[in-house]
Amino acid sequence: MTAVYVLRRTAMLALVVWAAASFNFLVPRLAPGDPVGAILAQITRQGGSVAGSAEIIASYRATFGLDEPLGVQYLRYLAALARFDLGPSLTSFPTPVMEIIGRALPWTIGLLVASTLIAFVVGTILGALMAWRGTPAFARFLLPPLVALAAVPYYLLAIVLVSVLAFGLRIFPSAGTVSVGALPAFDLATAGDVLYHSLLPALSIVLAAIGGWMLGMRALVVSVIGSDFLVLAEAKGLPPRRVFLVYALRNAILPQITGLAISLGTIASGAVLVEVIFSYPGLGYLLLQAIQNADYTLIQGITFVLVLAVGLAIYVLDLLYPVLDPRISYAQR
Amino acid sequence: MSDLALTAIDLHVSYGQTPALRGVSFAVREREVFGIAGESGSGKTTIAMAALGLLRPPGRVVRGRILLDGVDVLRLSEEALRRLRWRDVAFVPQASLNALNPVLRVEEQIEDAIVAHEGPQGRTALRGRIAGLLDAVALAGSVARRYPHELSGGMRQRVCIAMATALHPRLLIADEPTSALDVIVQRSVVESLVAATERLGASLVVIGHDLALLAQLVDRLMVMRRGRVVELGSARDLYREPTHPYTRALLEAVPAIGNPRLYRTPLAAPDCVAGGRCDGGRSFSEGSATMHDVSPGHLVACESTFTAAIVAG
Amino acid sequence: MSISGLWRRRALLAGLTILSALLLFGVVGALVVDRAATRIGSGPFGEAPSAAHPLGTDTTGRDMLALVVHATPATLEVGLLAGAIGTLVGTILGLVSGYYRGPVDTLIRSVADVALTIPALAVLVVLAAFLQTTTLEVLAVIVALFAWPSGARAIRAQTLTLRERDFVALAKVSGASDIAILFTEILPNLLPFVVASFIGAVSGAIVAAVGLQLLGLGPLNVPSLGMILQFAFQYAALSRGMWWWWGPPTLVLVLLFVGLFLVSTALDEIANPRLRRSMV
Repeated sequence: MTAVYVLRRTAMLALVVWAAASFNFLVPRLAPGDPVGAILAQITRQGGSVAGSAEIIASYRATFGLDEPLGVQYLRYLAALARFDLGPSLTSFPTPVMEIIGRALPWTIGLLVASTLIAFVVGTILGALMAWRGTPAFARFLLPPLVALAAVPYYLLAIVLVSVLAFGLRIFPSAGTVSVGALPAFDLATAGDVLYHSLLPALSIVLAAIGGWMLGMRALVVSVIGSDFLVLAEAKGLPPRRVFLVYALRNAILPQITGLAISLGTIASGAVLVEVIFSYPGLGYLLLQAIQNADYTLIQGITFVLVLAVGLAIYVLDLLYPVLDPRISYAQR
Repeated sequence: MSDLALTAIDLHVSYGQTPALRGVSFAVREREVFGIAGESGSGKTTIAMAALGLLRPPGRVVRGRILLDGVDVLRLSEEALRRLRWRDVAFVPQASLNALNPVLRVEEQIEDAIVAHEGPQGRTALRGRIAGLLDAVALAGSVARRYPHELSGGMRQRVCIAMATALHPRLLIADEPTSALDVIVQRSVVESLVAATERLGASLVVIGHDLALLAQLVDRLMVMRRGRVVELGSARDLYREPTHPYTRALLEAVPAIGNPRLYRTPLAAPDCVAGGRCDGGRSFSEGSATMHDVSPGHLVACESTFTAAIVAG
Repeated sequence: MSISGLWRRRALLAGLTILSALLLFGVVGALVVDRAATRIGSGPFGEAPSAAHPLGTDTTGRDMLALVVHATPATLEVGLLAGAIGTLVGTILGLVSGYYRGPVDTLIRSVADVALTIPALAVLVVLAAFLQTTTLEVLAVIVALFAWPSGARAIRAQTLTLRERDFVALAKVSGASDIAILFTEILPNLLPFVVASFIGAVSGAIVAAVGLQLLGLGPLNVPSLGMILQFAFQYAALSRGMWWWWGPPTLVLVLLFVGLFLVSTALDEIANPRLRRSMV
């Protein structure tokens, strides 16, 4: 892997993070109306105390530095971001946004990583098998229904699953990650409870995503099968399993992984909405509450963290890629 | 155990409904260099694929036999076929193809052919063996650790030749081994190929479209057109005395310095051995062609009637 | 190739049939069914389907059938509007990027790549939260922001190959201006790709729009499928087993996405099959 390659990827990550930060900086200033006034109105409407309003307004002004020249505000803002200071939550004032997000982030990452990994791995393997000669014909009937499911966004599947399996048949819990009244602890019982609660959200994501990976991998394996080095591999009299794994699969998986990197943003967005449906205490549910409470700093914090997380994940995948494909970093020279 | 490395008997191959080989028969002797010349679509690559048992649907053998050392490869099971590949007959692919796996190092690709047929090998012994193979085709030992995209076209072809000789096959089939290579590189690749074959004491079948080039390389040669053998004989015979109009057209298609007539349409051969009237090979009957003797070992087809004729010089 | 010719034709036919049926349902239904029944309090609260209300009512007394019938064309409108804007912008940018190359190409390509890889929801949420989506049209415009990159990429790739072709060289030699070449020579050859990217853009736009509405960021005054779902979610229709509330809009949406998917899969061999088309 060349230094130039790493540099380019790092620059790309920095660019995306900077763009997201600047976007978050600009939008409140360009938006019509005064967000602070809207929040105060909301708090008053909900019968909350307006006593702390002075602090809230002051903090908001400080966070956004609305009294100072724009350039200075911008630099302060970027500096704060570098310290992971996303400002205080407006509704849970003065709790820092980062702290609130920190509580929800692990749940989201857990759900996202697990579901995506399962969907990708299972989908890719199944897709490869669909394209290989040796696969029995009846297995191919799996393809159309799973692909049809892939046409539907995650949250629709989530709505169906939660209504039928959770509320309707009561097989699975419908919300949260631990049973009501249970005291979470680092033990097997809690782990099992969490898994039980995470199953439906994860299933929504896995079922809706797997078809896409299957179809993609199948097409890739089909194209690799037609390629010249496959013919030579067979002419060499290599055992069929080796031809399939090391010659066909190993080459077909490369664009599939690229596809994963490109899809991460979409997957993250989908997972967030699934959390909303299941009241799963991750970033999604937090976002919903933040929107309902007009907690603008929290909204911006969550969205920034989302962009950052996805950007980092893609960055890691990009760095992993030359290890799998020896042609890549060489070409970047 | 015959002294014939490869024999094709009345081979008919079709891709779906389209015939690709219409009754091809020939034999390759031990230690001989045999050429198959023809344009694209004449069926020459199909012969190679059929001999290796690599014809995939929609390609299928309609009729005929292919004997490798007396064994009919068309009747073998997939597993038996797999075992004899590379060990009994090896393949050097077209130079323009990406025949090497892009994600494996050169040594890994040579190694897996060896391991597939000889079982697990000791690390150092294997490395030495691969180095020897590469050295025999004039490649440095450092090439072993390289990836295919790091090598030039000529080097990749030589890797393929080294790989093909790894298991000491009795027969090597080279399908257009020099197409898309620079002329100078072509020569060195061809030399490596011929040298390797001689070292092994094996037979070599070279498939190509440049008849004049092939004629300089081979002992015997056959010319194919539209799935049929139109002429077969020693290189000298075909070069000095091309009888079939198509053969002559192929030879004359190479502009010779000083030759004012660069391209000519196929000539009728008034003194053709087949007698009767020659139409210059313009007609093509779906039926068959008869092979006639021009001289011992030199046969030519007349495309009016065909009777099965095994050609073994 | 993912599906053979016969299946492709069947998929295309099935998809178009579903889409036409939905279109008919929405447009004709909206004319036939009384819009007044979608007003709050116009009927009994939270009733299961009955003779008077074939799809029941929601907890605010709105007739579900009327709601769904009037919501469908609204959602379709959002998709078509956002899809049209996205495809228009994407096609133009793709053409410019592929034809002129150089720094313009690098810029457009980088922006498109970033737009494709970041989580669209993050940006859309911020925009929708601060800009107050008062009407469906505003929602459509916001959502269109992420509808163009995928199409731009596909169009750019095709433009790159087309510009090398002989008929373009011929046009240049005969003195045609760049704009003329782009519109009269290159664009007509891109029509299949434009159509394919439009289908994808519409699908992705509706996914994003409904997603935003589920978060409460869509207009709540006009009936749309996302708005019905949002109300259903907010008023706990899911937990109360009021399947007639969340079921019909979900069904319509599923049919819509499946229909669009079938059509786009059938057109798949001419558009890039690797890029995912949904944005959220």
